[in-house]
Amino acid sequence: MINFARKILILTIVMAPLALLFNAKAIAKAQKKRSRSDYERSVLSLSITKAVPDPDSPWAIQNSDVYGHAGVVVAENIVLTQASVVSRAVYIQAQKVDDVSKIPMRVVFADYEANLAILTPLEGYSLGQTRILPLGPDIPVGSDVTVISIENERHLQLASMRILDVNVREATVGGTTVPMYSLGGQSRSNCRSDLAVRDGLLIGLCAGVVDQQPQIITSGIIAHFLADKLSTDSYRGFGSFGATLLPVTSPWHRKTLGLEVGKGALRVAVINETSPFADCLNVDDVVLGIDQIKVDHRGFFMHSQWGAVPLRNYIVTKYAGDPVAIKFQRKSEVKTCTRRLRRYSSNDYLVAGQTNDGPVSHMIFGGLIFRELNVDFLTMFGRDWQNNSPASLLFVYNYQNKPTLTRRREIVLANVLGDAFNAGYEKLAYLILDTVNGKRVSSLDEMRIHLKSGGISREGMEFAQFDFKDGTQVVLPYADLDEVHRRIGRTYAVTDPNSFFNK
Amino acid sequence: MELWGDAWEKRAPLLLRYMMREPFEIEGVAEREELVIVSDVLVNGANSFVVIGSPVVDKINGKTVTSVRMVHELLNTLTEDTLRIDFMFDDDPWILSSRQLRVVNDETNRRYGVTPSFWLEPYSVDAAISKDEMK
Repeated sequence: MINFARKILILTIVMAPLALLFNAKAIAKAQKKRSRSDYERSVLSLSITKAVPDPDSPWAIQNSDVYGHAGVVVAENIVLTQASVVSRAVYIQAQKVDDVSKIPMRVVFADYEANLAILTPLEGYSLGQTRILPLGPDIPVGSDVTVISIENERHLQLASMRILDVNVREATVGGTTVPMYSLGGQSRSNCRSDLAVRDGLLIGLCAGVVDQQPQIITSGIIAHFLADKLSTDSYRGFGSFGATLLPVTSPWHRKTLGLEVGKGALRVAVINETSPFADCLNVDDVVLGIDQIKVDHRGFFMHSQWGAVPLRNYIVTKYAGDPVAIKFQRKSEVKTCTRRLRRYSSNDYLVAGQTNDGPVSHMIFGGLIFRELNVDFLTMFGRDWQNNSPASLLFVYNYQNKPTLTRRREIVLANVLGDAFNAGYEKLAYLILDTVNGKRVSSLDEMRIHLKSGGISREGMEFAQFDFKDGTQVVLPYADLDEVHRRIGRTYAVTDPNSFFNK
Repeated sequence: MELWGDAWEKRAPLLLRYMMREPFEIEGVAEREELVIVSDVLVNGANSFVVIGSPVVDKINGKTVTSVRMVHELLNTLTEDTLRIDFMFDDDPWILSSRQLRVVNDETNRRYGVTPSFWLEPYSVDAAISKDEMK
């Protein structure tokens, strides 16, 4: 914590925009009783036009929808909002609630893993007269806060709510885990980057709703993000420990691990190959503490504001690349291991997180559309995708989704563009590929290589053979493939020739 | 599976639904005679700290469980001080005291009215009545 505070102090001196966030005078002024009008210069209505790929036709844009969200001025001409809001945005406008003019904006930077983004006006434009909303400290559970949302793009709506709890949650689906406040007092079905404020200070940003309770990314996480981006040349991001640590509740389990009664400890249950500690920690080692932080017998440490919380709350105060010392016990021997944290990336996982820009990777072979299994693909099954997606895909997501150094992927037959060439296979969909031409595949690129290196010969003809994990087998000839692809392209308006496999 | 109601195909745990539909796609499932799950815990002094995560039993004291009968045999012939139960797709095994389990078993069976075929004692012993009464 001292190290972090020192960094904040240094950054405050170096960076004028950031200095405003932590300026004591600004905070004192902000802490006076605030009314709706006081926030009208700080909270902006964002109108975001997105171009979302068509889930069934990944080469095409499905539609251009406009979404309304809130943004908050955190530095001069710098507006903070959720990263997921600006994902695949093609046009963004900001509007003050007391002003009819709309200011075109651009994304300065987005950390999609932490679900935070900053925007600024396009060149030649300015936000005009705005008031920076200073960032407040982390505050205790039980505190009352005011939640500000934007209604009809023009009005600020203020609601009194209370912090019921603080939990470590994914900032977005597949993203890094960060502490979030759960707010009670009003049921909410959604939140659109609503802000939590208290005494004129920004306490957090709403990233979603769980059980009708808004989940608020804490100001500590926002400060971490802003300090990293606004004051360093290269963004370091949030560090990842890369292991699953579990409390040891059974006295007999403690005994087998050589732990004394009441000794604070967390058992290493999983150590991912991407973890910086993969070379020094083993499963069933027992972590006693990190840096100067000791864990209690439940595996928690005491946070100055939130009481007993999981160790992740300490890790998130660190940046990727920061050294972290783990004190652990193996049998009866106590050891220490120091490693630099690796930046969390949802792309390391077998089921990667959402892709936020660029085309959706896919490949068409004789009408068969192959895609990598990722969160984008799963979300095509609707808002309740975690229940409604095919069980075989959810099984991979829930039980086999580990990060790998090689960024291995599962390839899915998404659907089939029906054609005489693939007659008999046109109803196949959502099958996980096992091998192509007898060779295992772990990415679309690898699949192309296996297809190009030659298929299976039968009766003087060459065939591509696709074997799926459920036992389904598809066999298609290579002959006339170019002509077939031209025909399918015309029929289904596949405009990009790169969508097709090309031998 | 119908314990999860009429809509069990949606409501039952994903792992169980998937194992039912695609048992041969999961490594180590095909060679089992049946899948054994922990459906509930009759709380007593020996198990009060356990939490059911993944319910499918993988191993008991290192031996792969292939049937309910095997569970019965393994539990009745425990020689180790501790009972370790590993679950499929779960990284948090249960580790309990074998001796403590035996001590509280009679009392647990009586308290919850467990019928003979579901408890640790041989089938000849009726759990619902005390050993003294049987004599």
